[in-house]
Amino acid sequence: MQDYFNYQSCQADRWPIAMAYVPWQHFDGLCEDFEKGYETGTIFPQLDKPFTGRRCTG
Amino acid sequence: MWNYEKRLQFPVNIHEPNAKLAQAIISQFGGPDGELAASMRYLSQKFATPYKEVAGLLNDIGTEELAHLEMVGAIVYQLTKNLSQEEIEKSGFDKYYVDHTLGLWPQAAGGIPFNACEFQSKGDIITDLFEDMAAEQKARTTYDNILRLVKDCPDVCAPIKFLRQREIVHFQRFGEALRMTTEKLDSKNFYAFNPGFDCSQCQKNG
Amino acid sequence: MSRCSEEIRMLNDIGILDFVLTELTLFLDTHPQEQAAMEQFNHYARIRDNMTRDFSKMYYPLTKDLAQSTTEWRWGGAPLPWEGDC
Repeated sequence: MQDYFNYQSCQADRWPIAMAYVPWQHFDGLCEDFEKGYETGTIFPQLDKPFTGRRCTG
Repeated sequence: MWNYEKRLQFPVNIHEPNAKLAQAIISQFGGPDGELAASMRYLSQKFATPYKEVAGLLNDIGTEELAHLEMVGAIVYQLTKNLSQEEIEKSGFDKYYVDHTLGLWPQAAGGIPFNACEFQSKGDIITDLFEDMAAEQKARTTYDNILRLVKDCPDVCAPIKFLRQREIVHFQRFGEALRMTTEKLDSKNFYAFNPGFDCSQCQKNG
Repeated sequence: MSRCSEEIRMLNDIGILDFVLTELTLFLDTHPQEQAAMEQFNHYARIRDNMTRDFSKMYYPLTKDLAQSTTEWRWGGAPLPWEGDC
């Protein structure tokens, strides 16, 4: 399958175009420490995406 | 219908007043990408949603957003309740205070009052779900921006981080709802008709 | 009004468990056949229900259906959540 602009093609590129697709989350179990999950904001470790950004200029 | 549980979804215990932070965080109360907009968006869209599971999800996430609205209100309230007259005057908070004292009034940080133009309920489930996915990302970005401002306040950081992470989880759920929706439609053309409108019309006309 | 640390700890535990149920609810809304998640939900829903009832008896009602009162209206007397612990 032809790669465009060096983008790696994957299975999703065979799906109907003119639509967006979010991959299904699979049930891989819950976090071990519910208190930690509560503070994080999710009990699913795969969904834990913290913010670490800081403005840098120059 | 709704029942109220007398606790916040996540605790808010802020000991130091901070008018500048409150002025920014109020955007998540009544701003375009805030929790009131989110809850009204999903709780409005749910009615004309053709698929029961998707309507159920809109209802459940819309309900959670009301709990988030309450948390953000608590944050702004606790950041302002012990402000001195001098702090009110020096921080720029005087412009809000003159109309609302320390009351919570849904507006954006820039002053635009909450209004229904800040969300859409299009009556087309594909369109509505893209609106919802975008809304969750906009809210996440707003929380990212707030986190950059909240430098030395762990009391404020904790609930904001929680709220930000919820946006990411909601995005995933709306994305899955979109998958559920497309799986019920013809993959050769998802846009052939509006499943929330045209089907019933087809049945009426035989 | 100061609140004892045991009360705050119990309320926090209820918050944690209820959050687990919220997460599982949203997951099951889009994965209605995921049995492992349903089993977890059923398990924690029972515990959370008992904890809420116990808390409401020991301290104050968390929901109005648990607000059985005699001389003083317990629902109205409960602390307002947005005031924080302080």
